[in-house]
Amino acid sequence: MKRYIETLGGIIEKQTAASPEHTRELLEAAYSWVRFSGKHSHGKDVRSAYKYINGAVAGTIVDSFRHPKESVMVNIFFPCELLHAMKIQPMFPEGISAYVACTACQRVFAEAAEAADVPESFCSYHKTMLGVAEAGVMPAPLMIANTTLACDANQLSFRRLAEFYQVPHTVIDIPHANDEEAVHYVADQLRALTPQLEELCRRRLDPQVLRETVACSKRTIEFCREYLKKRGGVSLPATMTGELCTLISNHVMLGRPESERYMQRMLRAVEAAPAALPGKKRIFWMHILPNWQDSMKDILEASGRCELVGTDIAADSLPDMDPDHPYESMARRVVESMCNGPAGRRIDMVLHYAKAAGADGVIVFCHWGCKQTLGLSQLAKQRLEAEGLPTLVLDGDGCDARNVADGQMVTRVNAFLEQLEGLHA
Amino acid sequence: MIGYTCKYTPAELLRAFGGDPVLLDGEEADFELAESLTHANLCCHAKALIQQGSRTDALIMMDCCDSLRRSYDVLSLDSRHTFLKLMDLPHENGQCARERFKQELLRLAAAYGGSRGTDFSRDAFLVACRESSQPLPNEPFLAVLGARVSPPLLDLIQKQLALPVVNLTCSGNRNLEAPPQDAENMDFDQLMDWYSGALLRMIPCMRMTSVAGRKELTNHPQLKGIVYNTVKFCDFYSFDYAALKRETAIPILKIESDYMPQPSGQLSTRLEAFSESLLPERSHRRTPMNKTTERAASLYAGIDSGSTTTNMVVINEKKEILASAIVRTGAKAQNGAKAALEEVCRQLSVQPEAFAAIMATGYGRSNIPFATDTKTEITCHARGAFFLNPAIRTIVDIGGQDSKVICLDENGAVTNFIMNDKCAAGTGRFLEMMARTLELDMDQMSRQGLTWKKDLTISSMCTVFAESEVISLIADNHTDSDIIHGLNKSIAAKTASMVSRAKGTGPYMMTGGVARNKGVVQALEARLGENLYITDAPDLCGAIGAALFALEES
Ligand code: SF4
Ligand code: SF4
Ligand code: SF4
Repeated sequence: MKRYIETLGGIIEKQTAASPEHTRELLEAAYSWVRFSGKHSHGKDVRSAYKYINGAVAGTIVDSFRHPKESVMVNIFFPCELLHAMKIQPMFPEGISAYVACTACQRVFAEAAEAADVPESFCSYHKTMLGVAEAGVMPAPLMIANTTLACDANQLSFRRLAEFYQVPHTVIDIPHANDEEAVHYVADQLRALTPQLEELCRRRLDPQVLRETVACSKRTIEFCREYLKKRGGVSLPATMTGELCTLISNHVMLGRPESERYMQRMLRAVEAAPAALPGKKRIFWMHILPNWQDSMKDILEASGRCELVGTDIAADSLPDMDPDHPYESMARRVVESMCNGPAGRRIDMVLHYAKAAGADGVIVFCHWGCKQTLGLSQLAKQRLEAEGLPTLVLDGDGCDARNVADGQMVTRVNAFLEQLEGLHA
Repeated sequence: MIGYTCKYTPAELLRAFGGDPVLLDGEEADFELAESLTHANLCCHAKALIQQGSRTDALIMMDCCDSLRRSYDVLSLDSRHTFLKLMDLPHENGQCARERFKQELLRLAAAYGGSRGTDFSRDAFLVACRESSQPLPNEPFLAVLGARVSPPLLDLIQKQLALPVVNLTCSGNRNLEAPPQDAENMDFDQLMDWYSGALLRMIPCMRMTSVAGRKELTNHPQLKGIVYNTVKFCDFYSFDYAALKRETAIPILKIESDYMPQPSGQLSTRLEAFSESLLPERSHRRTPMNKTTERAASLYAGIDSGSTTTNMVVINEKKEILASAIVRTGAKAQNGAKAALEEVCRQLSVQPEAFAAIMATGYGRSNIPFATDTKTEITCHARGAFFLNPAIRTIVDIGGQDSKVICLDENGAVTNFIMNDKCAAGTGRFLEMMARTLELDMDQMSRQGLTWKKDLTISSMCTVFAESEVISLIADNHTDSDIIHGLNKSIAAKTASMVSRAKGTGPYMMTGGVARNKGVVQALEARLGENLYITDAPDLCGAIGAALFALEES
C-alpha cells in the first residue's frame, strides 16, 4: 500500500497543474479502495476496527467529492449531527491533508499555498488543504461552515476558501468561557444555521431524525468512555493512524452509525485484550500525530518498546448528550472541549486521561504552526512532571516533512524511552 | 497604569474608573524568558508581551488569538499582578454577541472598580470616548497596515518615507464612534449597551469573522501607499495582505517585523526603494562634490557595497564600461569600497578625484565616504538589467547573504520586488554552509551539481535541518553530485516560490554571485521552465545601474 501511495503521490505531483480533475479522480479511486477494504474488515481486534473506520472516513471523503453540491465543508471540530440528520456529507479538508501527507505530493500543495502568500508559519494541515483546494482538486461545496475552535487557522482558511469558491459561509463563534451562557450562545447559532441549510439543499430537517442522530452520538460517547476506562489495564497494538481515525470518528463522523459501531468494536477489543505488559512503556500523546513519518512509526508501533495509550484530542469532549436538546448537546460538546478555555484546563484533563490510561510518560507534540499547543507545551511539561509523569516536548509536523528534522526527532524520542526505561528499571 | 494590548480593550471604561491604560507594544532585546515559558515559534508580539506583562502590575488582555490566549495562561501563573483579566471577545457583532460582550464589560467594571476602590465616572467615560479617535490627514499620506507595529519600527518607517505616515495597524486605528446625543442621561447599563456595540463596530481586525469593513482602511482618496506589516509567527495578516494585493492598485510594500530591535540596514533599503518608486523625482540627500576637476566630465562610477563583495563599475558618457572591480567587502563596508576604488583607479591610471560622480548602492551604501549620492540596490539592479537587456521582466538576484526578485515593466520601471534577508535558505550562504558539510569548495559545488544521477530531494526548508539531512544522506552513501543536485533544487524551489509570490514573468535575468553556479542555474531553469539570461559578470548588474544613475543624474 505504501509503495502504491508513493507512486500515486508522484503522479499527482506531475500532473496537478495540468489537470486537477484527473488528480481528483485518482484520489477518489484511492479512497474508494480504502473504503472497500474497510467494509470487509470484520476481525475482532483493534487493527481491524481501525481499518473499518478508516474505510468509513475514506468513504465519506469519496461521497463529498462525488456529490459536492450535497456536501458542506466543515472543520474537524464542527458538530455535524445537523448535517448527518439532513443527509448532507461533511467535506473536511483537514482530513484530506492528513491523507495527502502520506503521499509524496503534499509538498507540492504546501509550496503552492506559500507561493500564494499563505505564511510559512501557518499550520501545515491548513496550508496543505488550501493548496489542494486552490489547485482545483477539491470541488466547490454547497456552503462552508466552521467553528472558531480549535484554533485561529479556521478563521483564516475557511474565509479564504469561501471567497475562492464563492459559496455561502457561516462561522460558529465559540466563546473562550466554558459556561452555560456560552452553551446557549453557541446553540442559538447552530439553530440559526438550520433554516440556511434547509434553503440551500431544499430539504426540511426532520426533528425526530436529529434526535436519533444525537442519540447515536450519545451511545458512541458512552462506548468511548467505557473504552477509556478499560484502556488502562491492557495492552493494544495501537497505531498513530488509528488514533487519528478515532479523532475523526469522535468529531465530524459523530452521530453516524459507523462511528458508533467503531467505538463498540474498540470497546470489545479492549475487553478482549491481554493485560498491560510491564516492559512496554506506555505513552500518552498530546495533540496531533505525525502518522506520515516512518521513523516515528518504527519506534511507536513496531519497536516493541512502547505503546501509544491515548491521544488527548481524540476524546477531547465526551459530555452527556441529551437527544431532547440536540442543539444544546452539540454546543456543549464544542464549548466543553478541552481545547477550549485556559491551557490549565486541557492540561488537567490530559493528566486525568493519562493516569487513567496507565501512562508512563507524555509526549507533547508541538506541531509546526499550532500556536495554542506550542504555547502550552512548557506549562504542560511543568505540571505533568510535578504530578510524576515524565514529559517530552517534541517539535515536529503532522503533515509537512519540510519542517521536520527527522534524525533529531528520532534521537529525542529514543532518549525519552531510555529515560522512562531507566526510571522504572 | 494598567497595561493593555488590543484595540478592542475597553480603555474608556478603565479611564472612567480612574485607570490609566497604557498600550504594551515595546520591543524586547531577546525572548529568553518568554521562550522558556512557551515556545520559540509563538507570535513575537505575544512573546514580547509575556516579558512586559511579567513586569507590569495591572494588565488587561483580550481573547484575541491562540498566541495571546496562551500568553495569558502563562502570565496568570505569576501571582504578582494586582489586576489581571482576560476578556472574552466575540468574533462577530450580532445582537447576541453584543449582549455577551456587554456582560463581559459589566463584569470588568465590577472587578476593576473593586480592585481600585473607585466608582464609575460618567464624565470621564464620555470625555475618553470623544477623545479616542484620531482623524486621518487631509493631505497625501502613507499608511502602515496589517499587524501591530512597534513604536521604534514606526519611527523608522516615518523617517524613511517622504510622506506623512499614519499607523492603521491593529494597535493604531482605534476609531470609536461618537457617543449618542443623550448619553448624559443614560444609566450605566444603557451606556454599556451602546459601548459594547460601539467597540464591536470599530473597523474590524483580521481576527473578526466579517472583515468587509476593512475596505474603509484603504479607500481614503489621499492614501498614496501602504507599508504592510506582518509580525513573525502571526498568521492573520498575510491572509489580509494576499487579498489586499489582489484588490487594490495602491502601491504596497510588505515587511515582516519581530518585536526585536531591527538591524535597520536592510529594512531601510526596502523602505527607501519603496519611497523611490512612489516619488521618482524625489530630491537627493547629498550634493555631488569634486565636480570641478578637469576630467570630471568623462568618468562616472557605481559602487555596490554588498555584504560579501563590493563591486565597482566605471563608465563614460557613452555608457561604455571602462573598468570594473570585484573585491571582498570584509568586516567594514568602507574598507571594501576603498579597495574597489583603488582597483579601478589602477586599471584606468587615474586619481580618485577624477570621477564626476560616484553613486553608491547596496547594503553598505551609506558608509562610503567618497560616494556623491546613494540609491538602493533595487532601483540600481533594475536600471542595470534594463540597460543590459531591455527585454528582461524579472530579475532574480541571489547574493551571498540575501536574495531578491525584482519585476520590471517595459520601460524598466520597478513594478514589484521582494527580498529575503532574514533566512539563509535560498542564498549563497546556504550553499557555502552545505559545501562545508560536504567538504567541497564552491567551484566543485558548481561543477558536481551537473553530473547527478539520482534525483534526490532535500525536504527541509531550514538550513539547520537541511544540514542534518545532508549528513544522513552522506551516511547513506549517496554521491556528492546527487546531494548537491538536491540542494540546488531546494534553492531553486525557494527562489521560484519568491518569483511566483512577486508575480514575476519571463524573460528572466539572473544576477548575483550564485548565478555563476551552473547547477543552481540549471535547477532554476527547470523550475521556471525558461532559460535565464546571465551576463559574464553577473555580480556587476547593481554597480552598472548605479554608474548609469551617476551619469544620468549629474
Ligand atoms: S494542528 Fe493546531 S493549528 Fe493546526 S488545525 Fe489543529 S489546532 Fe489548529
Ligand atoms: S488582532 Fe484584533 S483582537 Fe487581536 S490584538 Fe489586534 S485588534 Fe485585538
Ligand atoms: S500579532 Fe497576530 S498572533 Fe500576534 S498577538 Fe497580534 S493577532 Fe495574535
